[in-house]
Amino acid sequence: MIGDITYTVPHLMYWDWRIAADLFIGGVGVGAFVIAVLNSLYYKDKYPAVSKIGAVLSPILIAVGLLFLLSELGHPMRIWRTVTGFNASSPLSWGALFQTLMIIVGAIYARMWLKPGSSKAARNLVGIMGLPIALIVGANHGWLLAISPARPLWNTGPATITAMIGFATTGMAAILLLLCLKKHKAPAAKEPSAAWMIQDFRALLVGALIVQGLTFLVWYISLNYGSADAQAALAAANESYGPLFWFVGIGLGLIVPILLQLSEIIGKRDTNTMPNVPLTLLTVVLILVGGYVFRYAVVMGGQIL
Amino acid sequence: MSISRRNFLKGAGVAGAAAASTAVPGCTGTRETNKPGDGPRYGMVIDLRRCFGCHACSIACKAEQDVPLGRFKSWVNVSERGSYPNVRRDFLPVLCNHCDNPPCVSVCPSGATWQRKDGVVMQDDEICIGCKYCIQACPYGVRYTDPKKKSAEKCDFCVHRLDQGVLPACVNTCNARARVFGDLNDPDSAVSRLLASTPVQSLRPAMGTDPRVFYIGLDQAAAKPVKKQSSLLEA
Repeated sequence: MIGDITYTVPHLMYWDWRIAADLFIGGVGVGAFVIAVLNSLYYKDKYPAVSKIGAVLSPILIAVGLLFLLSELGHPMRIWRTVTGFNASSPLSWGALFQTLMIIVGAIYARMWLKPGSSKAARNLVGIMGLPIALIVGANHGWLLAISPARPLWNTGPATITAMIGFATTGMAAILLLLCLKKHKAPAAKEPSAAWMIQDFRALLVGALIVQGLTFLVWYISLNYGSADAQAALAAANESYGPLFWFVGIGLGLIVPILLQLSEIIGKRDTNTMPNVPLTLLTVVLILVGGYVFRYAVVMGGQIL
Repeated sequence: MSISRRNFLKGAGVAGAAAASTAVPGCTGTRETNKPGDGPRYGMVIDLRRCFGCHACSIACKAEQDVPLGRFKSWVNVSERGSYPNVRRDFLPVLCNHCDNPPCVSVCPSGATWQRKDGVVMQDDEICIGCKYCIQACPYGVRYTDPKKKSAEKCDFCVHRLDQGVLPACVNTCNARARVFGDLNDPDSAVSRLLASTPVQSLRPAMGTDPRVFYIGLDQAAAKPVKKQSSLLEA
């Protein structure tokens, strides 16, 4: 028999689904903030509901993400040590700092949207100041994993880019989800333009999903044709999490939403036609479920080798 | 009171600068180990030609360091390769490499992992927040979390013994005298003389960590990283 056996001590997997939940939920919050601010600046408050939902969702989701991270820590009550023992070379130190900043800025921005009579200029200024912080937090979530040569599955440049674009798409999906639900609750009442918002943002969402798919492809190629370590890590991750990753994360979370919305966009060229809200609802639910599964499979699969 | 955009930006800039200036002095990312002439820089050479896989080092470490059940700071990997009659069995003692460029120190967000001037990478379980980032960053898989203390743990070359002038427990107990420990900055030390006279290898040199545990007779095929079982989640 040709064999290659190593007898060794138990090697454990130390990060579980809660790290994936932190990255995912916090990422959705970051994405929602970016979309809220860009919508406010670009559409000049044509669709205030989008910005309002994004602004309120953002600090709540980032805080919930942080709670998942804290629940994973052995000593959550010592989190203040990341301030007193700040380590400039640690992405986690920067993440803790900027994620806290993001919650504060996000809460101020949300308050400005909710408080009647708030200055629009001041609100936009807070939004613009929050944008770089949001981008740093988004990049940090990818950088956190990508920095370590010990984990070849994570240790690639495209991992950070894919993570950032993933936050934008899931953030957008979360806003659209609430818009779709809002439409169902009050069909003809306060927001008659909700359906048109969905129509406008749907195209943007499909574009972002396609870019996300392309960056993922670059990531996959860099692993599949990379070093022996990278190839081994990819094979090991595929063996344990491949079906979940490919079927739910990529198939249902990326490809099916693109196809569903493309068919809707191509099928209805007339922009005056009402968009198919249930179809959009299905799309955004798939994006959110797929987004979480994608991160879960990457976090877990990356620890195998 | 109304705040102009200019004043708002100015205030934010000052606050940012103040935050940065208070953060940087507390920065724990920098580290300097002793250069030759400055003081000792500890390291180890493991002669695999002598090791016969008795696991005495693993047991000595467990006893000396009170390592919990199911966790190890130092152990011996045993690998079997080939097909009969051309088979090969390798023993590979593993412990913290006390790298010159330790990734665990770089990523620790609280400064719980730090490096002494003599090169020993330390772990302070009173400061550790238990994020396990150091475990993910270590290319050698030599860190674990203590199930009771809930903080990361690792080999520290038995500093409590070193500081008393006594060798680490694994070195002291090795029946085959396969482990040679000492000051790499002292050209007359046993470890320096061995390094000067014999070709040595280190684990996963491509990781760029510059390990200070060296091996004689290392077969890199036997030193490849261990694949973890997805079912073996930390409880």
